[in-house]
Amino acid sequence: MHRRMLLILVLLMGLVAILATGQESGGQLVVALESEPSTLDMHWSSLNYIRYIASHINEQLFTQDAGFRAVPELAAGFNVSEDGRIYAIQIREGVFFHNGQELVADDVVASLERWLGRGATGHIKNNVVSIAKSGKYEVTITLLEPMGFLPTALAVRRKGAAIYPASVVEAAGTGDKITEYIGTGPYEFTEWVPGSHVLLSRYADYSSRTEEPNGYGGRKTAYLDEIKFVFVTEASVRAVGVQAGDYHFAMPIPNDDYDRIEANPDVISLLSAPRMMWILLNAGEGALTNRKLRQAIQAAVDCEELLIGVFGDQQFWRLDSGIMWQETAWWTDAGASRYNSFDRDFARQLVAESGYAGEPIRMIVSAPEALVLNGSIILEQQLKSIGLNIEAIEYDVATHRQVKKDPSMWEISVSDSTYRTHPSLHIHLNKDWDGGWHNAAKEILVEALLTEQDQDAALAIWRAIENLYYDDVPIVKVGDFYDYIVYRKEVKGFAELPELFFWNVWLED
Amino acid sequence: MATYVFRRLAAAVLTMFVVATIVFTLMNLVPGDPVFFILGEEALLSEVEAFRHQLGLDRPLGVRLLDWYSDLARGDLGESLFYGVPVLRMIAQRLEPTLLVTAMATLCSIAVGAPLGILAALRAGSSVDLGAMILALLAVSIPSFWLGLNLILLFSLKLQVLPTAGYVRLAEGGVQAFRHLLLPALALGLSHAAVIARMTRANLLEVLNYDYVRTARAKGLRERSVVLKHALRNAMVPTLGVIGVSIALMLGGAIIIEVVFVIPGIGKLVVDAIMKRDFTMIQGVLMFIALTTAGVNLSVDILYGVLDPRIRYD
Repeated sequence: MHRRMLLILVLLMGLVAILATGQESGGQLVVALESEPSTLDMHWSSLNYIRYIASHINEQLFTQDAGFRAVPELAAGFNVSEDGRIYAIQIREGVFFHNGQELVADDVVASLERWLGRGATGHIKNNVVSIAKSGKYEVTITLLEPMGFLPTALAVRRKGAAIYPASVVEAAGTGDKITEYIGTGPYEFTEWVPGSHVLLSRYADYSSRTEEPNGYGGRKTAYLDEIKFVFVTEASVRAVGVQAGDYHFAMPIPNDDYDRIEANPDVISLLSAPRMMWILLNAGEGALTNRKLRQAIQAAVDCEELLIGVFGDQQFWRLDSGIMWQETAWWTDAGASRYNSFDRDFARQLVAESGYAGEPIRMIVSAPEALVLNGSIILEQQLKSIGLNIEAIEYDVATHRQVKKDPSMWEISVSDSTYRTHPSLHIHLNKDWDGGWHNAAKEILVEALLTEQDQDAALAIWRAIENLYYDDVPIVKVGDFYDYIVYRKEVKGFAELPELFFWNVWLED
Repeated sequence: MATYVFRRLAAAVLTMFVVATIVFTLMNLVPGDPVFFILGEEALLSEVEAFRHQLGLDRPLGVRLLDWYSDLARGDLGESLFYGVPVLRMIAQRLEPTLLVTAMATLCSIAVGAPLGILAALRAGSSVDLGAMILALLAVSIPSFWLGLNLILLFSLKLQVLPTAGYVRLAEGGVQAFRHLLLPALALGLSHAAVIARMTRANLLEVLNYDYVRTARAKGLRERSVVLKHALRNAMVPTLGVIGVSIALMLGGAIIIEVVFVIPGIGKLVVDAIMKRDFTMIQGVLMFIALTTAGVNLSVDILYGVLDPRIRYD
């Protein structure tokens, strides 16, 4: 009797030990974010914080693995016609939305049509002839020209092709924001207290893929009962909140706090996927329509001085000429010889050749944004040294954004991008965006890039586009930098990928 | 009396009309557009223009102003451009945190300020008096946001006894709500405690020299009774006026504290709305504040007459 009890006790202790070292379900993860989105509608806007939250609620036909290759998410598989123009995409059966409805082809068709009207870039929009239901669990996308990029376009999260119930899509149309946040994801929407937080809860009937987790794809397990995204505008409060244990995760944190927080054994420091700092030049209107003058600015910029001035210690930045990041399959050194050349004599010579007569060059500055303000102060001095009459004009964030949309109001604006996995996601590539980079050769190359099926050939096209970036200078690449992120040591299973997500994450006691 | 009330009501309506016009015009003349925050920085100009049209922001200012009057007349403050939620509903949700922070800050300021002032007055000229007044001077000089951040460092990070920031509704738990409100209330209330301490000290010192206090002492009353029962009552009358002003100032000061401590109150609502140029929200909150102020003033004026029949309304 005693032996049997002893045996049971040992078994129980073993079980406890196993549980103690394995993944644990339960608990509420509190994530402190810098700002609050206006919606959780994935199709609506490219704002990071929308998808950081909404990607837990909504899923897409495809997602990306750790190498940023498109892999099926809600799709079961797909076939491409021989001419590369017709994609038949099968949808997984037995997947249910948070409202209990089963996911069928009608939902996918409605969602993708709305996405084309709202989220997709012009190149994709113009190339899609139709999206049609070809079975209860199959949709067919017909293209004007073959486009190897299509699965990637459907996988990208930025203004992602999220799948909603058809009824939700119909209620919103393309003009209004979706307000019923219903998806098929591992977490469902619970509440949004404006100005305070968004709360998500585990979706009990979630239908996960079975493959091993890989990047954003594979099996998704909702270990946490709840995820609470709180909006904390004050950076120092975010930093202290994680150290005090009130938040489990916070981003971004000021770089100046790095040494102090790194010494805290309860908190893990992490640098984000690289972002990119660049100087936007107004190539569409005003003094900088003169290409020589834009080239002069490129030659005059001391990137290292700018990066040190804005981000401080070298661990927070790196010099790199690539218009795509080194971590992607799209990096090239096409601009290496012209990047950070910091040749002021050559720059002055270009200014002279441009016929510049000293007219004011307006640099618009968003004063509350440290990156823009500090970068602009240093840049102003660098450009004055080659004889440019730089006139820095400071605005608050709202006015700066408005002024930037009016090409008659500015010539230079310091800016930045978050990490992107495909070159076509660069907004400055779009001739209709701020700065208005019109270049016929570029437009042809971009079309070719999106339709090219072979990766090596596509990379060669992108190299040619990068060359154009350095010849035509719509932007001046300054360098890459990292956001500083912190989280508590009890947060386990967090995948260090560019996009934030907390499925497969659990809290250890 | 009825004529007076009617006249005052008419004046209040006129005031609200003027306020509505000024608020609307100023808001719409300030550069910056909410659409850029709603659509994000990467939105194309065509998307921006389409959405401005959808929101009606491209209509002439005069037309929008007339619509605004018409909505106001129906008691409709409109929908937040950013959140797409009725402004009135958001104001109602945000009242509790702001009122609670202000109430707790008021209690803190009285609980700290009054005893400090009394102590300083009773030991006038001593080192205790000097110390208390130096403390008061420091408290009144320290900006509340800086004090707030330091209180967070001390109580949340070092001692780990209070939460860093955030807010818990009263309905979700009184103790948790209290714990979340303590630091913001201290940060907001301490500078006002200093003013109350200085006022209490000055008034009490004055009253302590009055004849009736001397008489009370001559009668053989205990010093405690003389101070607390006889002198303090009179000394606190002007101090009460200061406390009233402090409450009004704290309601305004709560804006910064709400931002630092992430309290979803009216102050944070206004700051966020201004940053994002959420015109309808800013207009709605300002109208709400103006209406509250006009309502309180009107009620007080009417109450004067009820409380003191000598006041005539002709």
